[in-house]
Amino acid sequence: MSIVRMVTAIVALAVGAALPCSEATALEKKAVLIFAGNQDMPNVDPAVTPMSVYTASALIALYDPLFMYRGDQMLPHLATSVTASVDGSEWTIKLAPNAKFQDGSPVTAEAVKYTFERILRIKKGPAWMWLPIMDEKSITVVDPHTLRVKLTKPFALFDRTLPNLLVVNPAVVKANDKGDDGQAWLVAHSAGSGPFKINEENWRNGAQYEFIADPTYWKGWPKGGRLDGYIWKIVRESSAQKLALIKGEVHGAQNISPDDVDELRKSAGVRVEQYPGVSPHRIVMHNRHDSKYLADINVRKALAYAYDYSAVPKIYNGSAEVSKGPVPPALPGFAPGLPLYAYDLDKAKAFLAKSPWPNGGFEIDYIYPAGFDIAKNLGAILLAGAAKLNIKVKLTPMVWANVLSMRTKSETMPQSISLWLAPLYGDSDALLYSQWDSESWGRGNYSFYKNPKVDDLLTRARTSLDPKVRADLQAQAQRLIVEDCVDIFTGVEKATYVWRSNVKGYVHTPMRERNPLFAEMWVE
Amino acid sequence: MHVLRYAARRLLFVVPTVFGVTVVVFLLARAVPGDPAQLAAGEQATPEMVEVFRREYRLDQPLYIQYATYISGMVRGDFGRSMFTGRPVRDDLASFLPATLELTAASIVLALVIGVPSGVLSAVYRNRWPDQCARTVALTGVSFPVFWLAMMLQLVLAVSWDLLPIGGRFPSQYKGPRSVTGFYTLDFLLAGDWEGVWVALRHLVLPALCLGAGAIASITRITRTSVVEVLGKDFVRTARAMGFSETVVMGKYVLKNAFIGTLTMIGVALTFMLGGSVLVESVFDWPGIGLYAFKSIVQLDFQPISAFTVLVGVMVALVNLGIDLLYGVFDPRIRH
Repeated sequence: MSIVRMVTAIVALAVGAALPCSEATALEKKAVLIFAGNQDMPNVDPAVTPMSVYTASALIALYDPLFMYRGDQMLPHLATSVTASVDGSEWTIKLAPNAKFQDGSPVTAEAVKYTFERILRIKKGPAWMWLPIMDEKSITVVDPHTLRVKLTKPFALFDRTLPNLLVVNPAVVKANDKGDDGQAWLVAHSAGSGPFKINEENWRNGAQYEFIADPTYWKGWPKGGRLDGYIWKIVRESSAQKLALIKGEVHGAQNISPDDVDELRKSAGVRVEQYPGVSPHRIVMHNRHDSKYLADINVRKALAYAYDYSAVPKIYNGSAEVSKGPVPPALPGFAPGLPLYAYDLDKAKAFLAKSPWPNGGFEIDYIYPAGFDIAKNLGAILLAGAAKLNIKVKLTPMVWANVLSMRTKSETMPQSISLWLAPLYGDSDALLYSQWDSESWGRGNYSFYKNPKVDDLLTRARTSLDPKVRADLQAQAQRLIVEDCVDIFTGVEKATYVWRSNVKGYVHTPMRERNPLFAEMWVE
Repeated sequence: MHVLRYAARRLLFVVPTVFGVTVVVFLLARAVPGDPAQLAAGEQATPEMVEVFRREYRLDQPLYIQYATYISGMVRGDFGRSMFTGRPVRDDLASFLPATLELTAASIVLALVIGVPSGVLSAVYRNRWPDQCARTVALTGVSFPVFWLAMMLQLVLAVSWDLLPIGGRFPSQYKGPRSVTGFYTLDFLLAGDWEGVWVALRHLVLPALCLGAGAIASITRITRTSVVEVLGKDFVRTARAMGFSETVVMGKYVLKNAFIGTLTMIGVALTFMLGGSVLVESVFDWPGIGLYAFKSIVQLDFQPISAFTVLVGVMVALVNLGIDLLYGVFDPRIRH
């Protein structure tokens, strides 16, 4: 009998479970925005986790930066101004006198100094931006709201890095320091002055993270309304994000695939927004002798001319534009009018004829992240073009961790790889220096490209405080990079957001691609 | 007493097995190409940042010291910290493992509830329409890719018919249970929150169905084969000739004898499910151990990989022991 009862109970539960419930309607009752992100955020310590396309939203929700990217601008936030010495080696930062941490204590120059020094001490996450130009003696507190930063070498774009400095409350960190600068505690706690706090009851590792609005936020809230909070819900698959949006289980999503975007455009109650992207894709070609064939500029040019660029937007189902050079137009310092390569088989054959392999007859590798179809298809365009030159392209999927290691050395770098890269601060330098300066070999410059003229132009640009002079130097560098045909610049995916139609206040900020500023948003 | 002695002896064998697993995993994890310190430090990391990770995670130490540190930590229940998240692996396991166990339990229950009756029906009505139906469903269950099946179920049951949630363990804004066991259904039950139990069960249905689809099919097929075989035995004919009712013949004589094969299949299904299913967990956003292990492997994150492997090794050993002991319940001839 007990078995019969158990079976009956299970059947009853199964039948009952199939009855509808009102989860979707419950969603609309509170001013809590639910956002479907496809990545986890297991650590929210701003000295350990760098601002990236997957973490910036959470970090900016909990902590305030000195400056804030908003729209196309970089606006004062905790700081009111930053001024540089003539040579760009000394910077004076003034802080807003009314800024307060969430515990009510003021945000002072001492706190900013502590934040900088903690990052330099821990040497993780965002430290790469400041370690080469700062040391423990760099920062001096002038008065409670003014500090001076003396760089170890001039860097004209120091102010552009300040949106990545998220200020921590020294008192809170020290109170939870177990000899690790508070790292263990800050994994899932916050010590900032940001508009949101962590809801520890709904901070569920690998599932979802709830942020509660701080009604006393020192900077105030938008007039249109404000959220009571927001939930970063992990929805990994684009198809599941799409269904959750249609059903109304989430208010917005971060990573909808181009195929799903089309379907969502036709769905009621859903709004699709697309903006020019800032994370270009390129086929990195290994320029050094280790790669044999691709070390020859004529082979690289032959492949660049054999690449059918018009097919790139089709791969993204229209959600991408063909690249206009090494830097995307949405980034300051973009150089228009570069001598770009277009699909031209005659030119491709002419350049190949100048190489030691005029008739082709060789094979090159193209490595892409396993399971990433867009990267594979972008390689397939190369394969199709190269085949017309009698060059075989071997498309090889690989676990990306292995590629990350292989590409750090010229000897192990594959002949070509698929690569996307997001700029980490708002200037072309964020891409140019890390990708094509010879100082960045194996740390962004995976082509192992070296052109002393490019190095010189980029170094001069980095120390030039005049934006016009800097842009001119960067434009010259971009022209040389294109002329040397270092890589094949394929396309730039558009930044796509899908919102339920009652979500308001979204301001697209290119430098925070895929990371909405939730403090400015509300649900009607 | 014999059974207890047998179980204790088998448990003792688990120790060298797990030790062997730790050695193999430790060496394999370090033999794969790639520098985990470089990976953890990030794309733009300076050399001194990479060194910080190397030092902090003792990757600069000789292998035998690394292994000794790892084993001594494991014995104390300390599996180290993830290089990528900085979180203690023990905490991660504590949050991800119960999710997988709960899903596995639900899948096995579904597989039994659907698979065994289908198999019996199929055998009893051999080559007639119930048999054809059950065999078609079983074939479908093993043939459809889990990923596709999951998306179809989401599309039909969750969106078009709006019967079930799309994914997750409970609704985003629902106040979750205070974690006692980590099994949400049990935790809600312990808290006396019946609505919570209901909500948790609803969220279990689709992922459990997908994860259990293969097991349902296998159990149906093996049960059918075993029942057909037993139905042809002399003792079944004798029982019927003695006038026992069909319920008694089936329940007491046929099923009990045919269940050994099904039990073996349950053991096989359990060992597969306990490691978590990356696909099911990914599509349904089920925060289980499979996805956690997959991510760790992709990132060459040694500590979670080692902990996961050891844990799964122990669980598989225990499942096998449990199945072996259960054989005796159904067949006294192999009682230990």
